[in-house]
Amino acid sequence: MAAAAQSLRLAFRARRAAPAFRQFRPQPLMVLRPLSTTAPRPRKKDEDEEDNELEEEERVFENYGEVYAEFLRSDTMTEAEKAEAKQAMEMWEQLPIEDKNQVTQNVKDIRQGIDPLRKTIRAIRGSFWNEEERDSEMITNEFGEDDFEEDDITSMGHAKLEEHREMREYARIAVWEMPLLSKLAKPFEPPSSEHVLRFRYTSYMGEFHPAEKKVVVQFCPNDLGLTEQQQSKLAKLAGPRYNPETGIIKMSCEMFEHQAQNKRYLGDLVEKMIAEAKDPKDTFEDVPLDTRHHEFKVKPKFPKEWRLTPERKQQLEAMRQQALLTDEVKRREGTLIDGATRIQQALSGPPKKALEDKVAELVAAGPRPSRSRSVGPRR
Amino acid sequence: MTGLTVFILGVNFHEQKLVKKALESFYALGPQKSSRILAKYSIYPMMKCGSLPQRTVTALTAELSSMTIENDARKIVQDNIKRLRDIGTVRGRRHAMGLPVRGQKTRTQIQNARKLNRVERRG
Amino acid sequence: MSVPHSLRCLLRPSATTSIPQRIAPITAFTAPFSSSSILAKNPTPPSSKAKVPLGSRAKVLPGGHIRAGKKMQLGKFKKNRQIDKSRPPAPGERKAYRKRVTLSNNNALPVEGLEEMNAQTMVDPAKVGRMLALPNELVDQLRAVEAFKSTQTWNMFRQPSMLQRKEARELAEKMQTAAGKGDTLKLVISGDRLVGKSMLLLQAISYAYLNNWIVLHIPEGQEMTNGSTEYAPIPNTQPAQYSQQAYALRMLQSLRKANQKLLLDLKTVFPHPDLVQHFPVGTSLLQVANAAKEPDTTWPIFNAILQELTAEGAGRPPILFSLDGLSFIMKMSEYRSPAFEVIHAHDLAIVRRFVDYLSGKTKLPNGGAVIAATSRGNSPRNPSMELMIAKQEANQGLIDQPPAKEPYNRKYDDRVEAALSNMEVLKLQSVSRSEARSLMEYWAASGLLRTAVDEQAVSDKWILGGNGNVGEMERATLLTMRY
Repeated sequence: MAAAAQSLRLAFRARRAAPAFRQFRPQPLMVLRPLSTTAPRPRKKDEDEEDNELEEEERVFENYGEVYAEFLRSDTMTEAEKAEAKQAMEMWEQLPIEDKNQVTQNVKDIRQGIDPLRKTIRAIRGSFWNEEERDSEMITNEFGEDDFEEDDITSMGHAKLEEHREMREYARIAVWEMPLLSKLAKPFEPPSSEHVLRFRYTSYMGEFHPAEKKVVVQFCPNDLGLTEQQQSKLAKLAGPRYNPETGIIKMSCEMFEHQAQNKRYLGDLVEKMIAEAKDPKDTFEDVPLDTRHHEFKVKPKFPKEWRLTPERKQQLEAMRQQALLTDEVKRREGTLIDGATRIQQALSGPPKKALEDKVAELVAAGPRPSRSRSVGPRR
Repeated sequence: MTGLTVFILGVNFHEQKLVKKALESFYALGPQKSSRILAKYSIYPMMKCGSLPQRTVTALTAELSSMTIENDARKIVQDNIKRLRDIGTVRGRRHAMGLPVRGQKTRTQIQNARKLNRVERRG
Repeated sequence: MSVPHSLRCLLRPSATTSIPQRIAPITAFTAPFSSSSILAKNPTPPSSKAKVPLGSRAKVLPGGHIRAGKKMQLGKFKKNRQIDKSRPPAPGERKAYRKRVTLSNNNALPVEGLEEMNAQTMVDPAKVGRMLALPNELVDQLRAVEAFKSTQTWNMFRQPSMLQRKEARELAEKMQTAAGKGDTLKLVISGDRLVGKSMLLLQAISYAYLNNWIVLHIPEGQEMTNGSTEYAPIPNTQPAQYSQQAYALRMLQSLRKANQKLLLDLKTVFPHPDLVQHFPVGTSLLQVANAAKEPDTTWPIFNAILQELTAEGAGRPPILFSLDGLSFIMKMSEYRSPAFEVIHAHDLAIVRRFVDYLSGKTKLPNGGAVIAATSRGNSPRNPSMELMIAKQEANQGLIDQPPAKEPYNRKYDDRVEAALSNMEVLKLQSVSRSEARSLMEYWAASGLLRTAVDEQAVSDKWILGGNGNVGEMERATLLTMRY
């Protein structure tokens, strides 16, 4: 058994040696420019050298016997290795012919199997980022499926057609099926005095949602057939749930798991509150209604008095005329006071007489005013 | 206009100084206690030292001398720190090292601790 | 000579303004003060050596102008700070400047032919809408009780004058009737901000002085309660009341100054054994008032004076007790009792006296008026006061419906509601256009308004001032740089 393993090792070594040797063969020394835009190219080799190499490359072994023979022929092997190879060769010779054929056949099969894998992948020179190379990882067998063969409309065209089909379907429904629904229509009946509670449920169209269980009830204390006193007591019991502007009590419940349970609870609670409001033992008359929770919003409106009615327009016109008239009269009398001229007059020496004339409307029967208590120098 | 000065508990105060501020300048006498003292002697909040009558000054001095302020109050604080130190607590040790006592970070902003914390604490 | 010279400041520095002949030569005189440099005026000859004060780098240019050399600046962003080395204002100087009331301006033009305010003109319906000049004695009296305020625009005019408004006449008439019947007029002046509440109060005080009333005026309600004057508990009062001696002294001094003649004529009728000084019955009240010199001894004298003034059947004149800034005395004060409880403003004795008169709890036996003006400037909100004023306004038909009392608001004060339960409200409205016109004519005649005062201009300013809010009109006309 050990011999088999030994022989295998030798065989691999032989196989390995050749390509490795070829791959990492030192390149002939080239003088490289420090900076160049062209790729460095190896120097041209001689023709015979090329041939030798090709010959070596095409050399393949049929079975172990050939491998050992090659070893014994080779110059690169040491003596120990040659002795070993010789021993192995003898063992190979002793094998029956069927086994030998079997081995030869096996090697051939393996070689055939791995041949395509050993093929080196070469980049196509003119390609851009290996564009033409097939992507081995993409699982598709439709190569060139996006290619347009000039025998169809575009995908946008298809979408447009699809849209038309959809519209036509709705049009068909509207014409043929909708009229049938009118047979099922019921006339609206406003909630009667029997239905004073208004419940609100929330549905999420079959999806689960934590808010689905919430139920809200609204009712107005006025509708319950209570006296004034009981109504106000009910509003006070409701506390911040009472809206003083609309007079509606609004309560909600989401304590329980199911909608129906919550609704039941609210119904019971309303019953209890009404019973309590009807209880005449304590009427809560001494407690004022608390509306701190509610903000009364006043919406400013355009005042009625500001509207420009025809009468108002007339009135304004009359006022303006009157004002103009007053000014004109004053101007003619010379009693219209102009600040700028007053200053000019005062600067160009105080003509006492004219000043007194001008402020005639301020003069009334009475003594002349005493002089001011000015601290500054006087004239 | 160098200003008269008013002696309260052996300290000179300028006559333009508010009485409340003057009281608060004593150690261990804060806004609360000073407000109470002002109320006790019917001193109005905006009163200045200059307008304090002499008998009120005397009464204030008497009142202040009966309170644990200044060195007495400092002594209490120092005793407390000393006790912590003597027991060998972390708080005592931090006081002695001049570092923050109540688990603050010490990378930055420990100026106050550095300034104040010591076994014989002053302020 | 100096008047036209000072009037020059009213001219606009425009090229079109023709300089009158009379003052033209003034420019030839040397100005007593000038901001231009003397060098420009008397150019030194270039040959003369100018003094170079700024070191070797400074250059003297041919015109004698000195140009400082470049200075090295150390910090890149160092500001060229001007260090003010002048003396800081002495204690109290800033406050005095802030509180100063100027009643006359020599640069304003004198308005000739203004009618003077007197006892008759104030109640004369024909004088409504006219400007009335305050006589000098009255100005002195009003100054003594600090009825003028520094925020009012007295400092723009030559002589203090006031518009006789409709409300002022009504108020004067009410005071007249109350004094005639021996009743007490209990009145609160309310109204919007800047509408002239303090001015109306000033007119009420003027009426009182012109009719020889005794006037006790508290110019600022907040000075009583904001913890800035002396206070002390009054012994033997339950619940404790508090005296404010320094403030009482101030009131006595202003009373003494303003009502000197009247006090001299009034003689005491009670013996007053609790006073330090002995005053026999028949001493003049002025003498008693003069005894108050220090705050410590003022309180008994203040009480004695008030007792004498309100003595029944002794021929005492009517009294006007007035206060500005009502909401400050309708709340808790800043003072604290010896037990460290906040003192209600109504427990301060002077305030208590005013509030008792206002509520009608005690009466002025010789008639008179108790008038309080609300203030809308910095005054604290006082829900109780607002509510009571609104209620009274509704009672008088001034507004439709009073706001309801909020049942759960804790800020209402029963004492305030009791104090304001029995008073009248004068809701001051804005001025009419005719009143506004005469006011603006006065402004123009004083040289403060450079336009012709016609209906158009009046209408402009009236609308600009929020439909005739006097203070806003002043702001729009007098207190702006644009005309």
